[in-house]
Amino acid sequence: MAPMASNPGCATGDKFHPLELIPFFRRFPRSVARDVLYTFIWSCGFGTVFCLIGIGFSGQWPSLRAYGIYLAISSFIGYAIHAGFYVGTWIGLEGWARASGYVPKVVYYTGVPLLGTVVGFWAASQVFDLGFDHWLTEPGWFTSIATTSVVISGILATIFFWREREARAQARYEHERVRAERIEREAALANLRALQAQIEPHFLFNTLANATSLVDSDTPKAKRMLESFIRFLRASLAATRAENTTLGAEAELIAAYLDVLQVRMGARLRYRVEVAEELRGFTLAPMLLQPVVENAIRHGLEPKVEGGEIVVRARREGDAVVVEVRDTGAGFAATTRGGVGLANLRDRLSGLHGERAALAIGENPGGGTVVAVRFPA
Amino acid sequence: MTPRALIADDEAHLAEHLRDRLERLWPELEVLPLAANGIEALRAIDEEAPDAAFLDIRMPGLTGLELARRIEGRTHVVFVTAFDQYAVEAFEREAADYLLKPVTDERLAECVARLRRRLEARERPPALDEVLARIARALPAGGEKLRWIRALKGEVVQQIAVDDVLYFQAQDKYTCVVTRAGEWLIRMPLAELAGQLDPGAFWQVHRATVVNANEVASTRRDLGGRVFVKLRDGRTELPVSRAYAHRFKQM
Repeated sequence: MAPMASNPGCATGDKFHPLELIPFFRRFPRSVARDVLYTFIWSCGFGTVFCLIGIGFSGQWPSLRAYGIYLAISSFIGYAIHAGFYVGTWIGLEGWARASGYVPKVVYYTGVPLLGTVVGFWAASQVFDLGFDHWLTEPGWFTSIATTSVVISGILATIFFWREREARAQARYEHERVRAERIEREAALANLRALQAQIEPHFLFNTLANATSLVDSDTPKAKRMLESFIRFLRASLAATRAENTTLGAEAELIAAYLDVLQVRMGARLRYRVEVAEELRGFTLAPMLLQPVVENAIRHGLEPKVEGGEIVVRARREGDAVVVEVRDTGAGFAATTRGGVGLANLRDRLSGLHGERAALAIGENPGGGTVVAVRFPA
Repeated sequence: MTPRALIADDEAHLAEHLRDRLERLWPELEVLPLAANGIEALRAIDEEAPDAAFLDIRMPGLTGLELARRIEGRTHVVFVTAFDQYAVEAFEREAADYLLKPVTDERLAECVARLRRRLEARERPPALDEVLARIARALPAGGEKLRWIRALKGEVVQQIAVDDVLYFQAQDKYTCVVTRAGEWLIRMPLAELAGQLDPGAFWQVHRATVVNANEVASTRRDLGGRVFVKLRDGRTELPVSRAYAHRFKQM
């Protein structure tokens, strides 16, 4: 019988033989030889069923020879349909029908068996002299061929459509499963990276270098920087151990981080962190926002000779909370390699909240970049 | 002749501190006014031609590495860096010395001794191209993949993650970027953009089309033998030209 592709994506990858409806026949690997044998088994089954129906009608047992002829005819039909589907796939008719909508598909999957049945009868009549030549004029012949072909094509089409639906459901399930696994894996990876990347070595050593130089020349400044640095370290260490933090705590951490940098960069950095009192209790995963600010420094202000300003602001939008990091730095180039921090953030957000969270990166009208992170309530 | 040196660092405290210590360790040395970025440093080197230059690697304007490339052979270069693990491994002290911040007294004294020896022997500053090339290879940024694209929709400019792109379509000098959320334009011809994309993740299927391989759901061949790819968004179907159809033979 007709091997067919049950996965629309792979015209040759996933052939299906109707005999595979029976679990026993699914255990053998697919091959042309197997399918040819299966068609023989399937056709004999069909022949036997027709024969039994004949017995039911006539009440007479056929001779062994008559039974043999039954099997031979149904095999001829089976192979004709088998060949028909092969040709259909080969010339691309199947792919066209499948892609063109429901009606062409129904026409294809009923048309090929209909045609195959007539061709099979004709071929059998060449061997067994069944008087097939008169099938159009003899009402008995015509009715019997027409009934047989309608029954066969009906059964086959039903099997194929059922199978296709099954395969599609399977593919969808598979897709969902892979997606869920991927999200889980990405979330775990992104969390790990977030924890590893927390205290960037460049930041750490530059800060310490500044501390050693300021200790001699400007002790109060050194003290202020070290105090901010300690606040930042304490907050980020707490963040590594907690599953959740509040927007208020995250804002403190960012302010401490920016204050350290402010001492180091002097007039090149101005910053504001504005989180309204009623939003400070909002809970979120730790260390999601600091990388955005780090990115604004690293790619926005650091490369810009005159430096600039960073404004971190939170606002409520319906149920969601949007945190915006706006810098007046160098801005993005047309294409950017790197930007790993934001890419990680994107993965982490989608792992934590799926579609409900969003990361939007745009251009600051006054030059620089605006990054907006939307957290679901 | 008094030896002269330039210090370039965008963090003023660090530059001043280095200057104070250099002056203590090497009293004859004349330190030029501090340069706060790569451009100021380049100008000072062009005008003053110092014997030595202490260059921070991460600096606005020009990075220390870019600067070194431009002034090569004119001055002895000492790189100063807080943490560039990859770069540090690629340094070769014979060509260019490097100091790690915070700079210890011992290490600075060693560096000064080396510089003095070279200046007294009137050695020419060594060629740096080999060292610089090695550093460029070692820096991770060089091999990083393209992650973000700045694209336009009307007046709005947005940063789009390359992973979100379904496909790119050439439109003259522009490229249309299509994601599930809509279409954007980028001011770059497709040919130029395609060269920057990861060839494993983005496939050219047509002279004018590059698709995200992760978004390809299926392919089909029509009666005339033409191949089409269908994307996972369930709507898009793109023609594959004959030149690229071989990619989908196995599918």
